[in-house]
Amino acid sequence: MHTIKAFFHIICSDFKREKTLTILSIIGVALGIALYISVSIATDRGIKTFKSDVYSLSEGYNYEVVPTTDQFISNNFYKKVSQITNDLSPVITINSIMDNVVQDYLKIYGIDIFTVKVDRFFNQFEGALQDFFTIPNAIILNENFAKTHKIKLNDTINLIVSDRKYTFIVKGFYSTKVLPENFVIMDIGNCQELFNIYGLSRIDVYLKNTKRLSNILPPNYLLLEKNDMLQRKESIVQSFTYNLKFISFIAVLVGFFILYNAVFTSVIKSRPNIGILRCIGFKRQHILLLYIIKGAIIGLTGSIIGIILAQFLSFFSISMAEKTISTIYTPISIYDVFLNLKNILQALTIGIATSIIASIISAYEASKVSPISASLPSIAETSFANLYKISFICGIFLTFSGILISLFEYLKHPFNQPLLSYVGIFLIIFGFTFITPIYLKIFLKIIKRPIKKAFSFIGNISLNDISGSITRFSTALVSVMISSALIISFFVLIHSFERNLTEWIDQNLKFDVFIKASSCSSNFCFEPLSTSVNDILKDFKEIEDVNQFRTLQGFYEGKPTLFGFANEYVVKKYTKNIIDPDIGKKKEVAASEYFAIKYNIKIGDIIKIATPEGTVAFRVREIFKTYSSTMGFLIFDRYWLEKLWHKDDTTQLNIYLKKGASSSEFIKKLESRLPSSVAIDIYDNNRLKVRVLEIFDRTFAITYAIQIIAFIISLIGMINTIFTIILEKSHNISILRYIGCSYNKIKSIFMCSASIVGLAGIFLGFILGGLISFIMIKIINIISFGWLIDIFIPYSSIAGLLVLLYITIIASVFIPVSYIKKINVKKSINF
Amino acid sequence: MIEAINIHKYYGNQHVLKGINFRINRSQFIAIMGRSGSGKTTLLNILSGLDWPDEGSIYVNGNRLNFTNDTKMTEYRQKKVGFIFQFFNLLDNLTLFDNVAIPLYLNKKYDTKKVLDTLVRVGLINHKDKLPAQLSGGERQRGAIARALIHNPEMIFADEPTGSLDSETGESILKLLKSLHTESKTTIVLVTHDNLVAKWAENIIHISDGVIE
Ligand SMILES: Nc1ncnc2c1ncn2[C@@H]1O[C@H](COP(=O)(O)OP(=O)(O)OP(=O)(O)O)[C@@H](O)[C@H]1O
Ligand SMILES: [Mg+2]
Repeated sequence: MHTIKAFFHIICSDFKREKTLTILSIIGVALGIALYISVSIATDRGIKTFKSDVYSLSEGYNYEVVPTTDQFISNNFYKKVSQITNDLSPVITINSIMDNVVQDYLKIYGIDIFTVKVDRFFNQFEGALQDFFTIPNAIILNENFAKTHKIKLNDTINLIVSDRKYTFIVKGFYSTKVLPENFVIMDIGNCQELFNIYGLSRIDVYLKNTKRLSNILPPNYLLLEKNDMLQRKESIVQSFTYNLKFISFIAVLVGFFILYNAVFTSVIKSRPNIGILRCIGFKRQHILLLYIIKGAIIGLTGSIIGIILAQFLSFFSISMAEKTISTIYTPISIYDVFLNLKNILQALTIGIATSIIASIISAYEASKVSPISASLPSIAETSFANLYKISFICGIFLTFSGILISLFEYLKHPFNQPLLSYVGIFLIIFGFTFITPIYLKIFLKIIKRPIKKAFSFIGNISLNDISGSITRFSTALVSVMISSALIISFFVLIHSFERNLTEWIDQNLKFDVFIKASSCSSNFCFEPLSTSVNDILKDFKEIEDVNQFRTLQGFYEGKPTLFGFANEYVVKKYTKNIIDPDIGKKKEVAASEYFAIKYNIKIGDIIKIATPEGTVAFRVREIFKTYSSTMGFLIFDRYWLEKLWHKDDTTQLNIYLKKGASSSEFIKKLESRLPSSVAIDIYDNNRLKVRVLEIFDRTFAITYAIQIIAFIISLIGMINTIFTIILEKSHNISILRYIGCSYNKIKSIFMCSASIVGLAGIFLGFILGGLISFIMIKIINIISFGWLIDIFIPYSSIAGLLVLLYITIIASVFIPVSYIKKINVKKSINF
Repeated sequence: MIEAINIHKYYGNQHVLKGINFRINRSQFIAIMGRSGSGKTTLLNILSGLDWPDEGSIYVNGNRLNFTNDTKMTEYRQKKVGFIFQFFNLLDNLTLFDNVAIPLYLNKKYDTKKVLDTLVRVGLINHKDKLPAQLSGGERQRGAIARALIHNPEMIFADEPTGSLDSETGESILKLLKSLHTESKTTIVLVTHDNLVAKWAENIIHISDGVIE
């Protein structure tokens, strides 16, 4: 009992004494956790929403039949299935966008309401049930969605599907507990009629035994277990989520460093007290426990604040994840923006676990203090000195293992996700961290002369300060190193990406005008434009060529793959200057780099494609770059769309005008001729290019945000360490004051130390950042997204950036340095 | 010449110095004596400009010390004062040489030869590259003295300079101070509660209950 009281007392007084340090550590932990949790939430909710159409309506069904070569399953097949079992449910899904300011993405579901097994679905139905079937445009909305948009029963709402506006009448509401907020429910018969669909998007079915259904399954349909389908869906966005979680986890790591630093300082500062405690009968375990409890308290407090912060950050991160997924994959709207118990527990676990681990190291050190050695703090430093060499060897070993396993992944691609490279980067970061003490020593040796010459007294004292507290200054160095490495690697990544993208744009976007359906907000959509648009275009004499592009959701070896159909003749004429009227009729296909890497395919290989006409072999004519999709992408000529898929529609139009024709005039004219029911977006070449770059920025928006926060955390790390150093040095500062050193001079000494360490850190960070960006661009990007990009290092901008970073670091040091004035000179000196 | 006029110092309710008056002439060697807790260190801190009196003034060579001006006080300590502590208080990261050189740096009069000479004078030239932790207590104290005298201050304040040393080593330290006093005419104010130590001084001031007896 007494021990507990003593513990409580000691911890409280420690916190009081190290107020600023404790607060900073808590902020560091809180920010790290907040970032990680908010990113986790954003990606998890993103995935959940993305997958919601697989699981939401299909409760009670364990299989689904989906088309692989076409958008829809024929009604005939449905009849056949219903002869095998009557435990089945037909579903049509259509993407739509609400005709309002925010442009919510809504998924229209045409269902047979009696086959939906979702619990209490009807309980929530408020309108007259028969209206739902008899009124052709009747829909049921989510009650929350209706509430936020102030929609009442019998109100009408406008939705855009592809390029057409439709008006619906709200005939009921369902509860959010039952279905996600962005679902719009329609009767399947009405749905087919309204949108002229002669088929089904999928059939949900409950099967004990798949044999009978498999027997009648045509080759162009797939029978998939629901769980399997969920996984497939998830795997599409997995790269994206892994990437973000990985980056945000680095922030947690930096938070960990800060905490470690704080507990370590507290140990060093309390060494005499620990000695006294040991004298009066505290056991080693007590001391160990004392500091672990201390760390855990900081961790717990940090996590709680982090949770609150995470909630705020989540509003942003979710909207960014929403944008990114909507752009690269499929439109989603995430409504579930609040933390749940699982997130909170996760935050607490991470926070407390990392803080306990961080404090164990220092606590162990503290517990080793013997009752008699309760003396100078520098003893701790010397006991560490012996570890530098071991640490250096470990560091080199870790760095090389990190490089090696990344290299192995580069050569072998053992997993679907670049897991080895993620681990590799962490190993390299840890490796660099372990190297720092020796590195700092060498760095000091090199700069000793010039610094002494330039800053005589100040330089001398600061050099001695640093070499006298290598461990301490190494921690500061690590903070700087990580923040500069993060900045450099992202900068290189984004810059290289932008350069590659601009080159790609210049080579590929040669058309003058681009047209897409308004509801299509992703890079690719599957709902075709109305034929009226094509008809109107026929009247324009200024058009030289048109590339009618059609995308279909296809499958290759059972995996989701994007199929595109283009007028290859037109495309080649403008992008490659090749005039080959027969190019389309050849049984050839262009494959994206990702596809080529993923399936190990080279030019000239023959690949088998499942089409409505059965399996057809195509020769791979070329491998092309694309940054618009992270799925495998195959492009055929439209000739095959007609011949094998029996379609002649378009999802996007690329228009090439005759020489001298103005695209702005053309667009004006076209817009004036379009009927008001048609909702399409028309871009001229410039606007499209701008838009592509905008989309690119949007895709990276969340990365930018994470990067900024990670940077702030590292900066806090730096400030915290300098604080620590000042606290530790208060004795020396007081002596200097006694012998007539002014505050400003003492400040200069610390600024000088910070500049030296900052410089050393930035230099190491530059190397680390280079390594990380190389792995990110050349391994992670390729495996995750299939984006092959050349590395461009913008040396001059990086130099500028580093200078800016350096200034920021030095400026940030002003905060702890101004604390020097608050040191009680008389108390810190041994009279 | 230092003159203290009616110095009062309070720590909260505790009235530590209750009207101290004295005058120390140039080149005097004075010992301040008194029981533990009588306010000796407090007085020395005020004289050296690190602490300030709640009432009263200090005149140095006829000039009143302006305790509110930190720059002036820093300059005062830097140029005119040398300080010796009971626990030496050398900077633990600097070699003996660098420790001794600090006041020269601060006065912008750095001179390697002078540092070496001073180290010879205190008998530590063979130890110049050692860190304080590698020196004995007496050697550290001699190092501290070297640091206190290297810039030829007008006065040296020594707070129990022999307090943590054995009597023999203590005596050698006192000899050093004495020779400094006779050779360089430095004013020395030494705080002690040891009669044997106080005997080295020309005059003794006794403090008791916050006043001079
Ligand atoms: N910063 C402070 N805050 C409160 N009280 C203080 C402070 N410094 C000193 N005192 C009190 O003032 C009194 C005089 O202290 P001082 O250190 O001057 O004594 P001293 O004569 O030097 O004693 P010693 O011989 O033990 O060194 C003591 O009672 C002490 O408790
Ligand atoms: Mg004293």
